[in-house]
Amino acid sequence: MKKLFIVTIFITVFAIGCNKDDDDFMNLKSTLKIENTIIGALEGKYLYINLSLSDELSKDLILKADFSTEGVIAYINDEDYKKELEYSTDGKTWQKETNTNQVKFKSRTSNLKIRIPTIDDDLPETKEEFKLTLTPIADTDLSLTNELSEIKVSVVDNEVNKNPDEKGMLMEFAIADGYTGYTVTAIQNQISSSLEKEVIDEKYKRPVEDALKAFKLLSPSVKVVKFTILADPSSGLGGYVYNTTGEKGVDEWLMGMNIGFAYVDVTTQEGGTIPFNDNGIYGNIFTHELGHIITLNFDKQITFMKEGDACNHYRNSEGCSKPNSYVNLFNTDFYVTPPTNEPTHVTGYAKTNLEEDIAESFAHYVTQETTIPVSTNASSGALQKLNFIKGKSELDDLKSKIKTIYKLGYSDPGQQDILAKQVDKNGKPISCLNHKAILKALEKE
Amino acid sequence: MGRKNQMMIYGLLLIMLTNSCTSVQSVLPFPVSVSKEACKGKCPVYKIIILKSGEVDFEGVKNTKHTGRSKVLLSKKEFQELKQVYKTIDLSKLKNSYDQRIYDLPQTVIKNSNNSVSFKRNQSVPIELIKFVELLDEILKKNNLL
Ligand SMILES: [Zn+2]
Repeated sequence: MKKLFIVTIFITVFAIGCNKDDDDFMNLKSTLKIENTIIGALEGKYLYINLSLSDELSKDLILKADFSTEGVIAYINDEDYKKELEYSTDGKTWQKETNTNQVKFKSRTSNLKIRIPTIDDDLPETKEEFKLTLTPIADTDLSLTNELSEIKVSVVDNEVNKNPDEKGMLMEFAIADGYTGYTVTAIQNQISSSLEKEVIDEKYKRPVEDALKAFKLLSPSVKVVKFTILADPSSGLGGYVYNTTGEKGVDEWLMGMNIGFAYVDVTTQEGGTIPFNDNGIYGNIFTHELGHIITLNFDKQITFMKEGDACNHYRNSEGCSKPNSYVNLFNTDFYVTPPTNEPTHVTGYAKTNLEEDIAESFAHYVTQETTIPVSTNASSGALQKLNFIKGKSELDDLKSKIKTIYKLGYSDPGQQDILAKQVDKNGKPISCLNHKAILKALEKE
Repeated sequence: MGRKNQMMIYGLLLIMLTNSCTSVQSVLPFPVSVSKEACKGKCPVYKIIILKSGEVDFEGVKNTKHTGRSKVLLSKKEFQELKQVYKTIDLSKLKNSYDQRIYDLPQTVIKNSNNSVSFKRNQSVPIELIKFVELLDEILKKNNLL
């Protein structure tokens, strides 16, 4: 019993002695380090940062966080994360300071884990980023070497965590049957302009919704199943379209549009921002792409055929055109014996091939504000082609319908190409729209 | 192993080594021309001829920073990089044309004295062709031509 008492006293004295040692611990010099300055997380999860001190301090160290998206192209939106920090020494128990943008590196510890919550929303987003700087709050007692540097933080979307199939594309949409809606199926994770960010955030909606309205004008068996967008006016690419079924002969189309043409004034060097399709160029490009689907579908235009199959009408890479198809009639009227009176085509691009010629003529006709004068064999090829479109009631009817959806303007520089080619006797350009003047000039030649 | 056998093995190894490298051309066919055609929109339309010396004959037709003809001598680094990618393209083994059913993408035509290939950029096109035109675009932009 006596023995036990002595041992207990000994332990107590030893323990007190130890505590006394703790109280005496004094170190105010250390180096603050960070494990990784590039961090990321899937949205809804925490972002983790690990800090360390070369030597434990005998005093708490408070650090303050500054969040910034300045100069960040794929900047994170405020509602996507919390500017709140939680911290822990063991990674199990987490706590917050009253000032939630601060964390405490407690005395006598050498590691600090920090986490920041991100918000799991239902929005399709790109990989979004922000910059985070952790700064020790000034404390004259401490002699601290701060080796922290700016942290690059990214948050990856969990709705559409997939890049578009085609390089350079920004977003991909699957179109619901009957054009009742759409879903975002892919978003580019590496964006390179603020326009692309704005498009992903909000500006994609109008072009997609307008496209759905326009697709409803197609024959019900002709389906556009996929819509893609890029937002890069500097690439110059306006749009594109193709049948996705390849060798099957089924009408499932994909249309891609550069909505950079809708939001940027491509007619000027400066390329300032414009309200959606304010100059009508985007509308013209869309109408051109729609023109391809209207003239190349398997519904009434083309008969699917295999290589080597006979075709008695105009044949192109889609198949054999039906006798009364637009491309077959266009071929008979303008390609068997091409018109020679300038301008022979409505735009320079229309000269590419018959398919582009008819799509350009369609877009050009739909864009016309004035009534097209009746053409004769002496008229310019361009005017004859506009009359061809006018003479097809389905195409003519689409004019007013498309105009309820899109503002339409002439695509630049196609229109200028024509102006340069038609001159009067004094060498002054005649507008392609001024058909009387063109005819008059031709008479004098 | 006899000396004869040893020689045979070395010989075989040499043949295998040479054959495994056939996808990379030893003598590059210069001059090579690259032309980019129009798209629906404002894509740059141009034609260039790259000579063995690294000289580039550029002709900007439309939507290019420089319109008309211009001669540029590529820097050693640029030409080396370009040759490195060009090496991987063997026009004689490629199709003459890759899926043209995509309307309105600009068509690219690459031609040397014996062969040519035309394509519109999409997934069916061999990656080395895409890499080549991407690098070329980058170089032309650096040289203020695009
Ligand atoms: Zn087209």
